[in-house]
Amino acid sequence: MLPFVMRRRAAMCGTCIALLIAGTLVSAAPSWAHIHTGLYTHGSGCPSDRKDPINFVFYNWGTVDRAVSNSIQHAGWANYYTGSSQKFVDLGHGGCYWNYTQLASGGYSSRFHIRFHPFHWDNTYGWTTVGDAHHEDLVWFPTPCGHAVDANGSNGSGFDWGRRTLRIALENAGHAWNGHHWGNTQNLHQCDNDWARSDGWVVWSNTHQQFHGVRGQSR
Amino acid sequence: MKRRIILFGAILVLGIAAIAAKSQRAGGDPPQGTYTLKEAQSFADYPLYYAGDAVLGLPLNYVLKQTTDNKLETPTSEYTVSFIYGDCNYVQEDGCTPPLEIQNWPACVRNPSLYAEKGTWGVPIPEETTLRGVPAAFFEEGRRVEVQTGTATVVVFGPKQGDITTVVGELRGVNSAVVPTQLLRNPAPGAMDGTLGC
Repeated sequence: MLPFVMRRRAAMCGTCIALLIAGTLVSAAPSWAHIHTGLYTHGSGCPSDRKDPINFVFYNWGTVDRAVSNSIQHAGWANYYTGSSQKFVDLGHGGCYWNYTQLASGGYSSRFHIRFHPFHWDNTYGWTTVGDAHHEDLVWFPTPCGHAVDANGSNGSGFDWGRRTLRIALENAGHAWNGHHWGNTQNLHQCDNDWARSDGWVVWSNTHQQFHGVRGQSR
Repeated sequence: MKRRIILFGAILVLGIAAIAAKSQRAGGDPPQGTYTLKEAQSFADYPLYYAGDAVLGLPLNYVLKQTTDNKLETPTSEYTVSFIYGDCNYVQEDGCTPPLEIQNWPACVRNPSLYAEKGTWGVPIPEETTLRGVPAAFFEEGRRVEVQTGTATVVVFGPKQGDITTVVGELRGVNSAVVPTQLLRNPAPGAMDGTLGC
């Protein structure tokens, strides 16, 4: 049997080890309590090179394929592979990731458009997917340059219009929503030499488990 | 037919030249955009701030007046006024952000109460501080600051916190007599907690 002093030191050492293990477990536990998204999409220069403000979050059962199927089913935005790809910042994993997929209400025309990026499970919000809903015009004059998001007008910008349209379509189909201010209102210079910015608000749309029969496709 | 092709090509070239000229403002040219500096000087809704004709080596290139929503999905008659320094190269299908923007908001629309849910629902957590003697908060790892003064919220977007802090020091009144480094006016009653009426 060990002498008393050594038994005491052994006990204290065991306590220390237990505390060390507990501390390691706590510090290693993933911080799933927050959605770790950036506030904008980005081009190839990510995390610089901002392109669009993120203004929509599908949550609860907001897996990316449900986000896609609900957008198609309720808003009619059914065109895939329909624009430039952009990157999303994932602060939880670190780094930038190309959009998972994108949808639009039309092709080579003025239209609504959104890119999607999924996030991991969150203890508070469930599965989440974020997007950059917007309306954009096809620019022909003075120089054709593709699509440009509508500039700020009496009803906000093309970003606000896209978010509003998608929100209303989902709301009319029974998806509850709430709005939160992220403040991502930096102006973006469009290819028609005009300017568009978000009003800084983000819609969170409650997504149900039911599929509408259309699954998402990767980039 | 050949003449029409030549004419179309000439129009195309002129259009490209016009776009190129617009995006590369030469020094001394007046800023472009949806508003003018002179009009901003007569703006009376709330105090506006900018950093002069140039800051951080970037010229003032654009002045914008834009509508804003008082709350989600409800347009109002309030306006923001932005001063944009430098420019960026937008490409087909994608927009771009210039290196520096000073964006003025009425505090009745944009104020610290909007971040009361900080840390939830993706609402960013403000890093509160004091700049020019008034409450301010950094966001986006120092790439955005919001400064509360009088009935205005001055939002500065820039590449990094050090540059933004320098810009805040250079802020001067557009429609008031505030000069750089001068202490700014304390927030008006209700401007911090969202109870200030528009």
